[in-house]
Amino acid sequence: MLDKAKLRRADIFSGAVVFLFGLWIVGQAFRMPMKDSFGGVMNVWYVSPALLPLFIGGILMVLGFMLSRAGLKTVGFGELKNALQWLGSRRLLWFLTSDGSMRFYAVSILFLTLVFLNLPRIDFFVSAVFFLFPFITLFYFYDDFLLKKLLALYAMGAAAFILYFSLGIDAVAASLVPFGTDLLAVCFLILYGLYAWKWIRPDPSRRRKYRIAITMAIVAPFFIGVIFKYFLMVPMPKEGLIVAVLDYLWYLEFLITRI
Amino acid sequence: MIFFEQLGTYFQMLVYHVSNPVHLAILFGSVLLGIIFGALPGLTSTLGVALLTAITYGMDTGSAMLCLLAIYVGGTYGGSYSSILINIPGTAASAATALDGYALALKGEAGRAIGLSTTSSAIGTIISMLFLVTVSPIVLHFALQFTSFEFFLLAFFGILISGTLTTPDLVIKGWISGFLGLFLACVGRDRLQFYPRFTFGIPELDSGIEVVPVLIGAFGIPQIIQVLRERIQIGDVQKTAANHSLNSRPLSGTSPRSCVPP
Repeated sequence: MLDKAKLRRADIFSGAVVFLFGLWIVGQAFRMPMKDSFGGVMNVWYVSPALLPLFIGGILMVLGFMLSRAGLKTVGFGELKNALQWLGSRRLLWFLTSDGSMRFYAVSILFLTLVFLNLPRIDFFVSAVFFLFPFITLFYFYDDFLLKKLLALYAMGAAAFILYFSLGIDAVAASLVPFGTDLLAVCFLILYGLYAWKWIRPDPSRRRKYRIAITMAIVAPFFIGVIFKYFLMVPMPKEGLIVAVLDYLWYLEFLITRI
Repeated sequence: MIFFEQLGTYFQMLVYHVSNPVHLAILFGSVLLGIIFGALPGLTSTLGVALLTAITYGMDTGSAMLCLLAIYVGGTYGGSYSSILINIPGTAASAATALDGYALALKGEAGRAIGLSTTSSAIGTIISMLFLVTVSPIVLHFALQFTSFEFFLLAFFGILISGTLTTPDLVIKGWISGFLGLFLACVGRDRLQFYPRFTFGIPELDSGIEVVPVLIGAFGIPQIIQVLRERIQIGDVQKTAANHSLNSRPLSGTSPRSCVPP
């Protein structure tokens, strides 16, 4: 836990953020219907959808102010000045580029790309491997130099995929090649795997970890995914290349074709 | 009189089910499945009941009800495993278990925490079942008197009490957390006028935010980030805020034994 002085200094900023957030809630609440007509019905103030957000926003503003005040009372304005100076100094840059911060960026990028980029657009099994394999390799080797190298490649791949989807190239690829996006993701995974292999190849212990990473990244989603898809009948968020192959095998579609 | 009648019927049914070995096997199997579901973060007891309903199709009504109830109870209890061991509540009901259970696990007393959780869950289930069969007709009259005002005051009281009791630092922080939770509950369509609040035009937010994703986001993701950012070795006893809140004795060793008081 942070010591009391540091905690109170952080409270000043946290309180300000909470105050601003409360202000934003109140601002949004004022845009909601109060006594006006909504959906053709005239309303009274006490059934307004704005009532609860107004209350919550107001309370958060008060509590945020109280938190900042408590922090300021404890550490004083001198400490606040020091904290603001730190924000404008080179030490902030060191902090932002420190190994701990890099690890934080790595986790954040992996989660954000999984939730907002891969899962809604790429086959579930490919998405899961796309998440797990980089996740395990980034952290399992316990090497910050390697983490930076692999993270750079992953971030570049993610940026390329963002461009690929935002420019609408995925629709063009799908019309040219069946499961074009999934195939592209598999290609990137192979590239990532080869790049990681290049760095870890000289070290036998890392080669062992690399094999474990590949095994876990592939086995875990297939074990859980197959149970959910075929035993519990839960549809996957996006069903593409791998699900089509699994369907082909599971429902014995190759036999039906022959018949 | 109704009280004793209800109690008599309950025990009659209990003896009937317990005396049947097939029912006992269903009971144990279903509780086990429920525990597995509850222990997996993201899979709730309700989801377990929904997904495993398929296995009850071949059963008679009594056995099916027994199976589904056992899955539900097992699932609710099973959430405490992940709460205690990895600080990620498996179900909404086990969110409070994470507060003390994980701190005990960090002190090397995970087994004790799980034992306490198991005992209290069993006692709680038995007492709640007895109350359900005996007092529910009386409670029904009170429950129907609850309107929006009472629900609001109850939520307000809950936030103030839980904020005051759980925060290790300033109580304001606990209250802020409670009101942030209340704000998250605001997201979605308003019940009276069906007006979309804080949905930003995203249709998925119209029905509001489910409790379990919020819990995993609030407990699980920060835990993962902390472990990876600070390179905490899973399984080692760590010097964390949780230790300080429970025990001021410094924890320097990496072995769980080194943290147990002599």
